[in-house]
Amino acid sequence: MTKNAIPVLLSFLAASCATPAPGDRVPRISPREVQEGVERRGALLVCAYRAEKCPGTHLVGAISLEELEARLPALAPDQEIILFCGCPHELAAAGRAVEIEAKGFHNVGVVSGGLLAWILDGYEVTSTRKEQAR
Amino acid sequence: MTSSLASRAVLSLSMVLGAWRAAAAQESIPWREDLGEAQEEATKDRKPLVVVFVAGWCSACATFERDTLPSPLITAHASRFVWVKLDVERNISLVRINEVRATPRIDLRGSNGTTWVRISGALPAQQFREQLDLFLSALEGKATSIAREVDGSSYTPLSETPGGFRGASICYSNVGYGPLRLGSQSPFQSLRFGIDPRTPSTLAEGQWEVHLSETWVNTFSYDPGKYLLDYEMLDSRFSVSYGVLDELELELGFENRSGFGGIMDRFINEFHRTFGLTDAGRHLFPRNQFQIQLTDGRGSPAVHLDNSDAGSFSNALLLTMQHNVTCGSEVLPAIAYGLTVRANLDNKTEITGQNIFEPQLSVTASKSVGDFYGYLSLSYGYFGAQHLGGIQFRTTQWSTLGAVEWRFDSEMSLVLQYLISAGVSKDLGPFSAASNEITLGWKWELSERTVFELGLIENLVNFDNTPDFGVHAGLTYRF
Repeated sequence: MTKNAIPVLLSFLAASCATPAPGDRVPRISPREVQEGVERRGALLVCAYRAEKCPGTHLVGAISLEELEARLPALAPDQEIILFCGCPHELAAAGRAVEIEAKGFHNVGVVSGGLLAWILDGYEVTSTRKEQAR
Repeated sequence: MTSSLASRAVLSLSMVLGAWRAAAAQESIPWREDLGEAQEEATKDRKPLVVVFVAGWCSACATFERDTLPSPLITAHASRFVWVKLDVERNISLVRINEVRATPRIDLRGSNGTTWVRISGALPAQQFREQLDLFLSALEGKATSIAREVDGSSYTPLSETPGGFRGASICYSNVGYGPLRLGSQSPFQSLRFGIDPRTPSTLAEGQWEVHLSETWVNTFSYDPGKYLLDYEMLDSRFSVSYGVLDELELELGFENRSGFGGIMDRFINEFHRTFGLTDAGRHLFPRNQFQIQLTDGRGSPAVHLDNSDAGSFSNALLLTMQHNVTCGSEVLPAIAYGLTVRANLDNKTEITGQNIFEPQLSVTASKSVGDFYGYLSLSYGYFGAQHLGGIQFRTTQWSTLGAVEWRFDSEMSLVLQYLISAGVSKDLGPFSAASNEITLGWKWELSERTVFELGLIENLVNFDNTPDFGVHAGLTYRF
């Protein structure tokens, strides 16, 4: 039994090493390209968090995840969808992008650098917690 | 009596640790919320500044504020700095002025406001304290280099629900779900409850954990005139653990082993036949038999057990204290040690010379690299002078576990682990050599509280002294 099991285990391990994490292949889009996508191509900009965890600060023009999910049945599979989050390496947004891709959408990306990169590049945000959002 | 002693020991330890924590936590950090005022104070008092940028959307910031900043390791430095905490969500311009590209971001600044150290990410208390100490040493002229960037993002929860099952732990950066929790299932090692390999814990302070597992193995070894081992064994484990501190865990466990006839014999025979594999003499004996026949080193009969001896053959209680010495860093691994005392409640194996209590020590390390976690555990136990029939056992035993965990999904891991356990008996051919057990496992985080584990055990290298095949299943629940 062992003789047979060893090559199976080794090939399984070899196959596993070659596979990247699902979120790694999601395209990262710079804030400038995101802005262009929203203005010129009708891309949907979406907060990657559920409502209860969504930040009080939003990119101007963004919709909530719940709103996107309500609209998904009516959207074409090539609808451009761009998600953002406030976490390092865009992990939450990339994870959500993979979920949306699994529903048949193939034009899904995330904001490179997330919320902070958006702010640092000078684009506008809205905030419900702000003392000043400028 | 055993449980009474154990509960007293737990109570005493908790009181001592509680007193130490209370004493250490007396000093708290006086936070400022205005950077300008803090800078004035720093200049006037000639104190360096710690400027912490947080954001309301940032779960890593919440972890940093909850676990790192209140730690006695950090509050011990409360009076040496001027401390400022700024919520960038309440003042977005702070992001641009200070180039905040990740939160939490911590600047260590001189009393004149010059930023020397920038830390991005939620460092655990020990690593953050090291950064503070290095900075103070540099200011005092004891270190040559002062300016640096520190990327603490490997400590930062990277998902919307950070860590999940491991989320409350301070050690999740370098510790995954861990290897499957099973000790050696080899014929002699299992006779006297070998050593359980341990790995650094992700149980947080105040958390409870209940673990239940069953391991079912089939063993067949035959050498005419010397030995016949033809049986199956079920190893049942139940344990309750408590996180006394983030770094310290106490565990009380119960373990039972039962032997019986080979229910899996038919499946294994068919497997050998289908793939044309040799079966080492299995076909010579009827299926579903419980047979253990051994001669000692001189060839004299030493053990003869058959179907009438099947059933539960040993029970034990285990009390373990495990201390995570460090959670590691981007370069260094997490390191822990554990002390276990095993109390044998009941043993029908006819082993003589068994001590009531058997002490064991484990030292273990784990390190993450990308989606992979590597584990190494060394264990050593003392059993005293024991005999089984005319077979003499070694008084001590060591084991080594190496394991690789691949986190291929946010809630699942595959684990490949290799356990080497030193031979138990003296002068008894293959049973005196170390056993080599390889296990392929799968761990699935069913919920933030529950992890399910499944494993397949195979023998390797020393075919006579390891189970031929086995399955393992377990469930861990935290609350």
